[in-house]
Amino acid sequence: MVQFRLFLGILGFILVNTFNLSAQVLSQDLGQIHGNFQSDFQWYQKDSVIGVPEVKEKIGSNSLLQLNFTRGNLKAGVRFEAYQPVLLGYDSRWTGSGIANRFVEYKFNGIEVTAGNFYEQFGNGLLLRSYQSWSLGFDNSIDGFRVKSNIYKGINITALAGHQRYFFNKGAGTIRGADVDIQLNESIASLSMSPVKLSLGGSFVSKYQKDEDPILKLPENVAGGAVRTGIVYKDFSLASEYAYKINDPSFTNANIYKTGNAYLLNLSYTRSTIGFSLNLKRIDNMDFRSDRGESGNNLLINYLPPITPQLSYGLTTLYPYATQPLGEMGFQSEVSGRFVPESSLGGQYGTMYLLNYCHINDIHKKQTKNVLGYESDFTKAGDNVLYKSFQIEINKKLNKNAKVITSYFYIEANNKVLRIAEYDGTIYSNIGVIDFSYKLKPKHTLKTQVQWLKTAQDRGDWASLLLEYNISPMFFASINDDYNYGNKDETLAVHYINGNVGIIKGTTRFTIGYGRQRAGVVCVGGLCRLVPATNGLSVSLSSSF
Amino acid sequence: MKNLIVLRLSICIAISWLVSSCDVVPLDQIEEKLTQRASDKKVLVEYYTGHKCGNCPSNGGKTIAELKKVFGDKIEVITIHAGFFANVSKAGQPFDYDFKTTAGDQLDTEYGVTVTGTPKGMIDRTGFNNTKILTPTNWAAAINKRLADSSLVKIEFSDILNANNQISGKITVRLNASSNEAMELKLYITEDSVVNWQRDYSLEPEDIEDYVHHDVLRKDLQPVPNQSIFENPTNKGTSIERTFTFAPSIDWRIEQCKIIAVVRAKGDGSVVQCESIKLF
Repeated sequence: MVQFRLFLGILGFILVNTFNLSAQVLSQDLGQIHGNFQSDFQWYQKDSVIGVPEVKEKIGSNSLLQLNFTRGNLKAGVRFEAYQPVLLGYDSRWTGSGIANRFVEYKFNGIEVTAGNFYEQFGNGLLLRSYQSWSLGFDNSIDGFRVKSNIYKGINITALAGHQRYFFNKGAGTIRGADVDIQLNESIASLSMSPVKLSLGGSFVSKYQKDEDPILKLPENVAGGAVRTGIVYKDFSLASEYAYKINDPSFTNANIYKTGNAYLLNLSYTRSTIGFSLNLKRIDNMDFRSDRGESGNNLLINYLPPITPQLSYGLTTLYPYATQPLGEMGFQSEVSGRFVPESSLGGQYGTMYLLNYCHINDIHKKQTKNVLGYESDFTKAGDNVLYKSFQIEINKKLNKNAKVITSYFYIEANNKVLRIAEYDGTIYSNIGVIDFSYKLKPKHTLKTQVQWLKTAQDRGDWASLLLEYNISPMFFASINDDYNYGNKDETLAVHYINGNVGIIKGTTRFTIGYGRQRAGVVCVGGLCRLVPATNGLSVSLSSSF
Repeated sequence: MKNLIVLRLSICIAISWLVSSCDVVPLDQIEEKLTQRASDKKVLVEYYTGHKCGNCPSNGGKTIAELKKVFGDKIEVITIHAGFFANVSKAGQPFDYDFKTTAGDQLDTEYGVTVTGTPKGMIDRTGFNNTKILTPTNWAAAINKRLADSSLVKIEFSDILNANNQISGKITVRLNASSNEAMELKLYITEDSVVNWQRDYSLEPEDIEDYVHHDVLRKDLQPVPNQSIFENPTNKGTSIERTFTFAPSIDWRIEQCKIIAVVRAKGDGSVVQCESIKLF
């Protein structure tokens, strides 16, 4: 084990310094090289108490190295990835290695051309978004050709065609798409001085996949369109988008021939001491993939932004919301602000507060006997609550050295639909968090987090304690204990203790941890990945240059 | 400047052309006419599921039933309970019956199927749309593609005997064409119509006590003297023989059991041919 750690340390040192040197040399006249590196290792240990089986390979690793070269109007890049084998909890088809991404991009006369792999988003992504999430094990980059152009003042168009990445291969379907974005205040001279900023946009995406099904006649070309608007006036902003998709029978919608649609509205108001936001969303049969037979997070063409709050404390992530592309309707509202110092509520240093409420139902569905599957009234929500949350947070500086954040969360998750835990029903949980930081001396901070989750469902009550010592900006050490004391199965009422140490130097970060990791779900932007319980040593090295 | 305008106009026209395609299928025309295959090829369908997989009956199970109607005896089905949703509950509770098998777990580990979620399946353990692990939506298309080929080998059972609670038999594999491919013979026992608990999200209540499980994998068998066949380049017409013997478990209803023989290519693991015989 000592040799292993030493090896990682030396490897990191060589990589970081080699690339720094390369960047400097090339920047003189030949161009510049930038990039990043990440390697995550896990050494698995059998733990029959929490159900961790013996892993034959003992060690798993996910690694990548991205190199980008720029010179003038030219940009090119390549990314090598290796999963040897892929870490537990990721799709087994990642195991392997190779060049996962390569591209060349060139700009001339207001036109930008990209050949190879690229990432793109039209509007909010309701029709098309390709992106990468390392923690999710998600990459739906498009391998093909893209052109972007500013055809007139304030009018930008994008056109693309290609196949999506599918592990170390490509998906079966071809994607073709175009987007136009119009900033009206730039395009129309009479609006240039207006305090009201207006924008319009529209996109069209079509996928082609051969119909090889011997039983059903499937649409080979499935197209969708979207329109969007944006208004900004002083502290107010309002943005909305509507997307529509034609018949697209697939595995995820059980081969129904119904059309799909999605609507999104975001309203916000922000001043120096108060902010308010309201998000509305309705989704109906909008799972859009370049292979109709795919499932999970594979080959998704579009992205349905979540309207649930981003929760970061450990126990608040036990029951996250997974976006329901087949049907959901809901809203989120948030008020945040600051009571100014020396006021009755602000105290000596002022007080920050945040209130958030989120409510999502399924959509109204009237089953039909034909292949459309169902009919749905756009204005009606369904009877089933999918997710409800309430959050209140008070962030208070107590004195020059101490700060405390006190939070309460109520989370209601309908696990009959969300399937984020084993429990077969709705899980109601109440969570309290106290997050206390104390500056012992300049750059030295001790952080303590106490969390408590109470629920009568699923695995019952949890308590969590985190102690973290930071020497800013280059060192931290932490120990965390999640204790599932309320589990009705006494053999599972156990402690999940793990410790981590991290060293940060510039853009390079090295962390090493050991201990138990509870089973759960990692969700990023509404997409989720199941994480199995693990026990053992984890090592992570990342850097950018 | 003029060239630039022409270029930008060309981009707009190209975009219009690119995105002008969509196919709306009339609702009364969704069924294809299946072309019957005269080929002697049979296709192995391995259906991965679990008794706690609530999406499996209405997706995987339903699709398997449709495939049997459409393809008849051109397919051999093995239902493999493996992974998270196949875990058993405590004794005395619903779902305490263990459908998992050592053979199923080994296949699941080798191909990494259930970690991608269930229901999933493999069709002849070969790739379709760049993956071997398929959702039910792609099973029919993948089977149809495999049936377009003629079979490289023919498999025949003979001398099936049941004596002293020992079942034995002989398998002959004959090459229909000369081949350079090294192959293996694998044998699996399945049992049909096993009644036990199954979760089904499409029903209320979801937990069904008397669900009928079809084509359940029970065990794999070791051919004698070994599983390797046609290891060297071999001429058309060459045949090999292997025998098998096993003692059925007292849990099995032997009249519902069958043996499925699978010949697979040693190189990429794809199934060359399969055949089955009902035991009694």
